[in-house]
Amino acid sequence: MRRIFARIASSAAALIVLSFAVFTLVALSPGDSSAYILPEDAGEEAVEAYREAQGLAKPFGIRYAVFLSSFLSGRWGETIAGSEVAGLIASRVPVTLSISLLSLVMSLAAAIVSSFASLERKTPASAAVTAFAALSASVPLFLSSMILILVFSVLLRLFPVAGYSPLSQGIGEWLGSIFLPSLAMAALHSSLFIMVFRKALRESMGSGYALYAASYGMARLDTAVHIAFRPALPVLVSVAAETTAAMLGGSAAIETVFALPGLGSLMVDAALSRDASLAGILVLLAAMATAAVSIVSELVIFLLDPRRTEAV
Amino acid sequence: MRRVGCALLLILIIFSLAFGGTGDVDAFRRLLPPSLEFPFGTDTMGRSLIERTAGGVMVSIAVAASVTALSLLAGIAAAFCFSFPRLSPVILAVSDCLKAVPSIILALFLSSIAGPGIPNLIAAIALSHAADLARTLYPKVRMLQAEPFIEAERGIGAGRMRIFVFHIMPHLKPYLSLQSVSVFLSSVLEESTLSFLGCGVPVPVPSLGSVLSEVRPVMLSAPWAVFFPAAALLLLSVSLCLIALSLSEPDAASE
Repeated sequence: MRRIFARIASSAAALIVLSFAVFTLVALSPGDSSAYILPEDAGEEAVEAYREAQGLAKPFGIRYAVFLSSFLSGRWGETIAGSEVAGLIASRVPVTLSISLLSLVMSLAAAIVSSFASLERKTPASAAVTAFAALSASVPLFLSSMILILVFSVLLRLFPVAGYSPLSQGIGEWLGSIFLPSLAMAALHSSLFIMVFRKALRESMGSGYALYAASYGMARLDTAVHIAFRPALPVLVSVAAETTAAMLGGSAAIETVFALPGLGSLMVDAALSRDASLAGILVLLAAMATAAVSIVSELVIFLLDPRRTEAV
Repeated sequence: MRRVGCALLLILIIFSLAFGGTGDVDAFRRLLPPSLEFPFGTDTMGRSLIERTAGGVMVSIAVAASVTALSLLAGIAAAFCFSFPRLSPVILAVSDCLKAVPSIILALFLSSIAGPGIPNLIAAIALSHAADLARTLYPKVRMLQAEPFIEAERGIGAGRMRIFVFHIMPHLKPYLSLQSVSVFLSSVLEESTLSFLGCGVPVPVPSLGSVLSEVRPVMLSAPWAVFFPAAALLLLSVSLCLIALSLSEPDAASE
């Protein structure tokens, strides 16, 4: 348990350093909001007065303190276009969350099923799974999304081409709108899941307790399911935690191709409209989510295997 | 497997050197299907897609090569700094901060500040790879430093630089050569993604990502316009993936 508290403390320290770096970069970005809030022919005095009123003229340290306190209290200001950032982000969270969760479930299922199916080395099944994992890891997300849209939405007409229907419109609609994006995401990330979990399962199958079970005449698949499965699980949890960060990044491409209003597409909009302060807030939120997920994963690993003291 | 990967990569490089270009805009020949004059057809602005695709392959390879070189250099520099006990925690803290942010998000954030541009793109992608390398090299370097042969070197008065170059680097080489291929592969993917999103290479420069984003709206009416650049991107990443796989798992490669 002490390790988990140490993890929380070090993550918090890292986040504070990161927030300072983000704030510095945003503050250094050329021009401040006076450039697009005020009319173009505003005089020197008007600009000065605006900067004074907005607190832009204060010393750097104080501006950072103000930034940090308003960030922590959820007052995230407005976008360049003038909408409330906090509300905007809140409306976008469900989309990204749904896709990430569904693709996480898909990746886990793919990893577990394919690992059990290709347990023996040097078999056609094993080679096929290796090839699938290698190939799916080398297709960029935006391309696999385009291919999926082409095949499933345009040719087979199974799913909507784009757009998001919230859960309140019915579970079928919701699932239909996030199925293809999640599949694209899962296709990319399941490769890491598969390779890592299969390796752990094979190692676990070679261990003393699995050999002992086999010597009692337990069937190979039974041994794998009942004996070797649980010791191989912690590594799957840590891969899942690492992947969550990558999924936040991947959502940028996926949500753009599928025209979904999520956090990833919001980040792309922020980058394209050069809204550095919105982008900065999203970066900090992504870092906080990543840190939280990794702490939860350590807790889960600890519950799965209380003896473990070293990180996987 | 490695031979197939290298051969594919070589073919793509020759193809990009032979046909690469930005393509001339001509409103009178928009979206022509493939012909002898335009083997891959033309895009929505009448530019020859074979030139754009080949140019895109070149840009992708050049960007990925610079990212790989930069992040390897930074990683090696970090590994050297791990010889100094006081510097290591600082480097680890910095790379932890960078690792907390997904690389695409980091690159998008930097592009929201600095705008699109190839140097910004390279720096943004290299930053997270360098942090990753530093983080994974740390335990390896620490383990090596505890070895008796390093202790012996120190005993006879060898300097930090000498120990690092002659005794630590050779042990890191296999890992670094595998990492260089996988960093190359993931920077190809990241570069094309960022360019696809419009935050990568600036507008007239072709990149496989930006070419694909330009032809995406006509995906259904002009499928060839999507097919060729997509195939080039897939070939590029598959060839790199084959090389990486042959380096990483000798037994998987022989399957």
